[in-house]
Amino acid sequence: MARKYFIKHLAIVSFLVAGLLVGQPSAQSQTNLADRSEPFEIFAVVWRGETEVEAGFKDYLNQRGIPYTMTIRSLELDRSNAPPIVAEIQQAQPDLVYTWGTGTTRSIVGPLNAEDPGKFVQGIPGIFVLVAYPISAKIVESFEQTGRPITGVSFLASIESQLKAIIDYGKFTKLAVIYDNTSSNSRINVASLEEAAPQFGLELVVLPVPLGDNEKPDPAKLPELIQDAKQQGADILYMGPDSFLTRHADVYTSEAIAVGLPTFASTQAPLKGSRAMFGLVSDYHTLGKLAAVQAEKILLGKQNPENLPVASLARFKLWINIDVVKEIEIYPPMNMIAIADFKTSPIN
Amino acid sequence: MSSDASTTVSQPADTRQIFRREQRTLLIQMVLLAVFVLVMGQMTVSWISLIGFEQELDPQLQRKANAVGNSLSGQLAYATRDLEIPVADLVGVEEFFDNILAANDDLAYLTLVDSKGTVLFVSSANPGDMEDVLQDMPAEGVSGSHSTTVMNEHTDVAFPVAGGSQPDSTLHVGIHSDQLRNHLIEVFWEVITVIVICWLVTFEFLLFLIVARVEKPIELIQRAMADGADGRFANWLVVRSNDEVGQLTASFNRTLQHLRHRYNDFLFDARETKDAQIDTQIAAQISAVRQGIDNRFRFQRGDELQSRTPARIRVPLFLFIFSEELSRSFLPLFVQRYAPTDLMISSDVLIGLPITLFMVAAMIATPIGGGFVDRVGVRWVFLVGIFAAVVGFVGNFLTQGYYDLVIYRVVTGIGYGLVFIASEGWVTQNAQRYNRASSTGVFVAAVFAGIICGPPIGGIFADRFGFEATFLISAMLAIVSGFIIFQVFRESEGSQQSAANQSSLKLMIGVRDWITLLKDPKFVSVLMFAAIPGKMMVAGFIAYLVPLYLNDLGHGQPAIGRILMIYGVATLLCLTLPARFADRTERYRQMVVLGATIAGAGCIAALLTNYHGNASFAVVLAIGSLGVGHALTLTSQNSIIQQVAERYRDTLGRASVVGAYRLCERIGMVIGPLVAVALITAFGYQGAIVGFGVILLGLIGLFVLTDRSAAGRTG
Repeated sequence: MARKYFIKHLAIVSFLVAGLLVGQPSAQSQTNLADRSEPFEIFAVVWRGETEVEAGFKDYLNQRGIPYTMTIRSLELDRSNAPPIVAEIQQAQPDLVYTWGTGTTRSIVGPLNAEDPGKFVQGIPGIFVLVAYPISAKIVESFEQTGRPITGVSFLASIESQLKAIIDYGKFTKLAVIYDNTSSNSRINVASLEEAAPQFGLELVVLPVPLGDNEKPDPAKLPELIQDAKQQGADILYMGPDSFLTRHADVYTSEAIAVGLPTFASTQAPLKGSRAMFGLVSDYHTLGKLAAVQAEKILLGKQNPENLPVASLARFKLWINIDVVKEIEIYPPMNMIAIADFKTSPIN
Repeated sequence: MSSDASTTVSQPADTRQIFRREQRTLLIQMVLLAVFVLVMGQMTVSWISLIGFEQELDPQLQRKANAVGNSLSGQLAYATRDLEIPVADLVGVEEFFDNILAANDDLAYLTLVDSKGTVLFVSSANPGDMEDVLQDMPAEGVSGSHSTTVMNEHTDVAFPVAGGSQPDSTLHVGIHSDQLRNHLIEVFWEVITVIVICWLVTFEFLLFLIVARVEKPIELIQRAMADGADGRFANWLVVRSNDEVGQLTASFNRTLQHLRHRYNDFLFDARETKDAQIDTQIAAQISAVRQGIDNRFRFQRGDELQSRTPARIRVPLFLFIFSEELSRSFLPLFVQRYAPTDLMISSDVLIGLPITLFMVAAMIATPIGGGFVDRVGVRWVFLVGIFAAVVGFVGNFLTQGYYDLVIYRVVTGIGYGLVFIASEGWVTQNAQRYNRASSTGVFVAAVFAGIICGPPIGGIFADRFGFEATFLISAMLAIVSGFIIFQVFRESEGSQQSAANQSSLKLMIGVRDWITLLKDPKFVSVLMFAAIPGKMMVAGFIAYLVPLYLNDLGHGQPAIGRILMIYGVATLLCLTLPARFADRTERYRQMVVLGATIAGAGCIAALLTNYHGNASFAVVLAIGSLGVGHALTLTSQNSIIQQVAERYRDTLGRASVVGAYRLCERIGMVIGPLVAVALITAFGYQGAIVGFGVILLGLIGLFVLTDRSAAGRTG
């Protein structure tokens, strides 16, 4: 018995040792690649100037000693600026294309199965960041198999962790979501909220923004909608990855504060740029590093981005704007104070 | 079990015994010196490490309070000073504190008090205490980094919480003061246990070595020299060891051998000279001289001189008892794990059943084994018994379910009975000449050393390696014990018919004899009211109730083992002096009554101490008094039975009376667990302990009454 056991044990140990010895050279070859003299060329296109994400991206590559050159172009909030940049990229044939945001990504690398693929960058590995719903935006087929040589990082916390953060604040029972019904991102977001909210014992008030004369959501209706939410008994507003609302976040959040409603945000912009009270968001610097890990796998590991699942962060940042808290006088519990990042919103 | 130890009878020591006692100074000095040095060393080391431990532990708790306090006050200050949240408006502080308390069981409470001394938030491990704590807590704020106040049961460390624009508040961190004391007490008892066990084991092995290898051979040489002084040179010494003393005996044997050769040479010369004489007168003179020499000296037809010492049984018997006692602290819990719950019988009964059946098996095996001792000798009964015990232990190690558990306990019980009767036989055979009383002492000491060491060590094993593995250790110890018996006991030893016939092993008496005995009021009263209740306590209280109850109170295996050890220690400490006193004054009855009263009163006192909230101490008290009580009664009960037996010397034979008594008293062991189950079911654990006490006192009351009337009739 004992002898048999010993032999089995010996076999396992030998196997492990052998595995270590065999595994070593492949790790070696990876570092060797990093020493290559010619730097990788990375072409980045952003929506509105450089952000913390790009800083984190570069930090990681520098820390790993990966040689690269990075060209950065900005669309300056206008998709019509895209074609010349696409042409420039086709000309330069970089090793990797980096795109920031849903709009940028769609206008540079195009949607899946685009009717006129010639208008977009083709055949160059791509990485996207800050795309809330890459599947519904038709950028990838699925998170696991992207269906084209493009992958990225997802930046939203799961709807469950967002609702948990709202619950943990300890004060809220009725959640109102005002959203742009014309945006597929927002519709998906609302649908998942409707599914998850009851599990957390939260009531949900759903208020689509009415369309104006131009068939687009009308920002002038926002104060009315917030009043409506208040009257329906909502005690907190929810702001998803909605570009319409993000654009009008200043009006939205100030109006909310005026009627004494706090706003929870699932993206960083309404917290950093406006006066949302708190939110569960990804840290942009960390997000950039995560994108750089994907880039490393593509550039050094020679992996096809098609087979690289869209990565997501394991931890998100609980962001609280303390000035808004004090104004509304709804204080976070101590357990939340111990883990949250407190900021001060830009007060207009 | 325990009280079986005192089987053989104390008899007045004869002159030879007294002579030997005076001789033993060297042995006693050596053992005492060794044990003294050992104990001194252990105590010094333990004391130093205890002090070091205490010095380490106290600041460590302080450090912990500081670490927690600094971190918490920092986080609170972040909320009040940096985030400027008004301290009274802080939310979820108590949940926040609760998390910290849950993670640190050394901490007793956390409170936040504002600058006016108003207690804002309280979280406590024991909310009932908080009213007192809040009153004792220092009211004034803290200057400096923190301030420590020692209160009744807690040590309070206060930390300032910076308020920024608002006044500072104060965070109080409470540490259990008794936490430290409990740690120390726990360690102290562990150290004491180890010291006592080391002491006993050293004593056992040292005595075994010295007696068998030094004392006995020297005694033999002494006897041979005394023979030589009387002119007897025909004997030779049987000593098999090859050590220094063995070499001395060998050379002594050679000397005797040479003397015998010389005598033979002399005989040859004398015969030659005599045969050469023509003068018959001279030939007659030569014959006369030869005859004269033969009258004064003896060189032929000698005997083997062998030492017969019961002390050689000590180590193997100790090891065997030790191996069985290893499972003492957890056996009921072990059975509980396997007891089926889907039967009509209550699980309490099922848990008690293996203990009862073990006793029944031992009880049946005893007389049968007694018969075998006569036929095949002590050695083989020993070996068969140990083999059965090992099979039982290994079976329990491999236990799959309740029924095979019970069966293997029964097998161990058979082995136990056989080993016991073999030990009794061995002691009887080897003690017949002059040292009967001290032989009993040897037997009792070995058994009690096992009873003392087994439970605490077994508890530690069970804690570390699990119940099943402890049975495997038992099996290995029993094998070692068997090996020693195999090596040390000679083929020839212990099979002398003469000895066996004299022994108290023959238990088979006829129905008519039973009726005679059961009509004897003295026999019945000591049996029913003293002996059976005593055995009942051992099986029902010590072996069944105590492990279950202590487990219920939250004690681990090592602690249960330690508490069970108290029984053996108390008995062993109190065995000698009361026995001597009873022997000298012949107050056997009074001693039995006193012992039972102490045991019963101790159990009832458990009720009183229990109201002070310390249930474990109540158990300790009951076990301790039971140990003392049994120590007082054991030898005296035997003496009473000897007196009874004396009256039947010419009719039934003394041995038969004692044998019948032994058999009957074991009924107590069989009913013990059942009585315990009944009491526990009716009154709960605490009530059952008191119930045992009441039973003991009631029965001993009947003993006093019946004994008086019996004395009146006979006297």
